[in-house]
Amino acid sequence: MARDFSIPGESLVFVKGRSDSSIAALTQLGLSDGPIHVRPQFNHKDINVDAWGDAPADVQWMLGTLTIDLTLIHFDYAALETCSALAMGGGQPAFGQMARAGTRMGGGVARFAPGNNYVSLNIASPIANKPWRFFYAYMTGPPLDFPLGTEKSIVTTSWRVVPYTTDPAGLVGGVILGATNYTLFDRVLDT
Amino acid sequence: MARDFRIDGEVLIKAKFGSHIPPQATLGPSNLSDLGLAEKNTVKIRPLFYHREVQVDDFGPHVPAEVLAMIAALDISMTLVHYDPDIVDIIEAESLGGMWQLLQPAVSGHASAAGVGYGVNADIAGLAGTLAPAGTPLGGGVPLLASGNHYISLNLYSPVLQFPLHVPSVYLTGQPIEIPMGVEYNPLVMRFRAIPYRFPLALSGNQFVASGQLTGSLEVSSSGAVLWDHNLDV
Repeated sequence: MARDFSIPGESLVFVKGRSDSSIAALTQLGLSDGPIHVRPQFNHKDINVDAWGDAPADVQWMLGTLTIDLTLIHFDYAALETCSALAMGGGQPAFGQMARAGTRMGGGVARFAPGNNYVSLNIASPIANKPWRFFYAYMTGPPLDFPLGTEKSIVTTSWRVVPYTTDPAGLVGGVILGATNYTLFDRVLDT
Repeated sequence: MARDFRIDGEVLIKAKFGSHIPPQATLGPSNLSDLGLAEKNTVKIRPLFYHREVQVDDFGPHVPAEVLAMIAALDISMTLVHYDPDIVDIIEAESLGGMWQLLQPAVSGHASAAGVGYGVNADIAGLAGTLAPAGTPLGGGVPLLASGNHYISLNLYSPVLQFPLHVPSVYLTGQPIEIPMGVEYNPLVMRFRAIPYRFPLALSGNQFVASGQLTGSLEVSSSGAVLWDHNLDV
């Protein structure tokens, strides 16, 4: 691909959640009033050896997470309420109700299964054709800001993407793979 | 193996028990079971080497002329964070002399038969916390992994370095064991002791009676006893 300006285009945000939620099917969340910021947090750990002074002799990759900042201006309020409810532990019937303390967001179940409260966050890229799909995201609060008044509300949301798994050992056919080939995000939008 | 950083990888810990414990998962005929994964930097293996000094007057009172190796034990500690509580129950019970004897109070020795021993998980849940009689020997006078031997064979995997650790005769020491309960995920602090359990060597002319009792002259010898190796159970 040649060097060029990167112009994603109209970055419409879609969400998809657990199969017993109102966003079980891919749902438009909305458009942002400004750029959507995707911030990976790569974690590394130094390996220090006395013989190498204060500089690391090597560095270990220790997996990562992402933060996505999104300010919604033209959005589906019901979808946003559902994302908010899922972020509060999911499963409860009404907006504003919490799940019990200690409720696991992933619930130990597969993606989109009842009990898994993570949201699959999709960001379209119609111009550059470089969409983003984040498999396991949840709204953090803060920052979460619902301005109320006579003017249009521009809702500030922040999402965290984590490498959720039901088995941290990553057993495949009895072989321990850990996070080998684990997909934290990709460029294939949900359907 | 060349000198390098030691990075074992995802250290999955598995336990294997005497054959009186039925398989706890659909892994085939073996009762090798997942115990769990530990919190960061909490799996510690501490060899306890014992020595005895040989004092000779000619060498003065402070420095030995020779030192005798008096075998060793291991101290293994870990804080488990992703674990199977049923396997923890079994380990606790086996370390206290096993629940098997409570199911077979009239049987002398430790002969096993089809259906003898633990049932499915429901039986274990019902008996967890019930004690064997004081003075119950963990080895039971039978070989490791035989029915009636309550030592646990601990397997610590090393998927990156491919240098696993197998400790064949282990039991929970009792302190510290911390079983937290609450709304957050509960890390379980465990501490094991490993000794080089050795099934007594039969001298010539001895017999092994069908009831499981050993007769004749036997010798408990430390020579060649295995405290640990790198061959995982299957």
